[in-house]
Amino acid sequence: MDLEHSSISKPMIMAFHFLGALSHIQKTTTHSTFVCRCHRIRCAAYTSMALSTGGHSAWSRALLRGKLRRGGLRKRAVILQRPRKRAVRLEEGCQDGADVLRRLVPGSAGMDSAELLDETADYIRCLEEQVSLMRSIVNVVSSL
Amino acid sequence: MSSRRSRISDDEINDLISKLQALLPESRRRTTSRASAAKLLKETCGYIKSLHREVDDLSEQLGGLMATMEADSPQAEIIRSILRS
Repeated sequence: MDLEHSSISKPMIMAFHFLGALSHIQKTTTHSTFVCRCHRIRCAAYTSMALSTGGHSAWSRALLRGKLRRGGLRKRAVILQRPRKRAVRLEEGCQDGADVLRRLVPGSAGMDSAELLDETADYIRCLEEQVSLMRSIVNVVSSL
Repeated sequence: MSSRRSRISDDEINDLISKLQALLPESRRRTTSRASAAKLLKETCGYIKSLHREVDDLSEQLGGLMATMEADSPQAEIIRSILRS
């Protein structure tokens, strides 16, 4: 399925996945702790973010791989241990910033600077959409 | 400095940096200038961390709200409202 030509938008796909997950969590956590439920909701948020991009970006694949491998998502980003010999570097003063960014954006540890910036841009956009989706849901539910 | 760096040109890196700067919300963009890539990277990291914190906060809010919800009908209503908007 080619998502770019489909009539279903990315935010819509994200909403379907997330709401479906919430519905499932609602049914299966009636006797769970608050912390456990929140953890599952957070995992569902990152998973629906990753699924909505259709696997086009490295961060989404890293998130989904991490989820499959461990049956859940940790708070920190998944880091791929794949050292590269010839990385394109930004100027010297930026290296620390680039390293911190590589820790924050999933799957970006082995990337050179240009790829890293591209992935970061995509990751930030999706995070914003996910946050906006979650805010709308909170607004709707709290006004019921 | 070394010739290995020119696999991707400096112009392309500048373009990507501008793209990144355009992603930051206004409140954060003000504190960085185009020339300072290091500062921009720092702002970006800070912004991503704050987005992660927001996801955590919203997950907690949802967790609390879901505990008070009954099954079935509220969820159908939520799904309908979200899809309508």
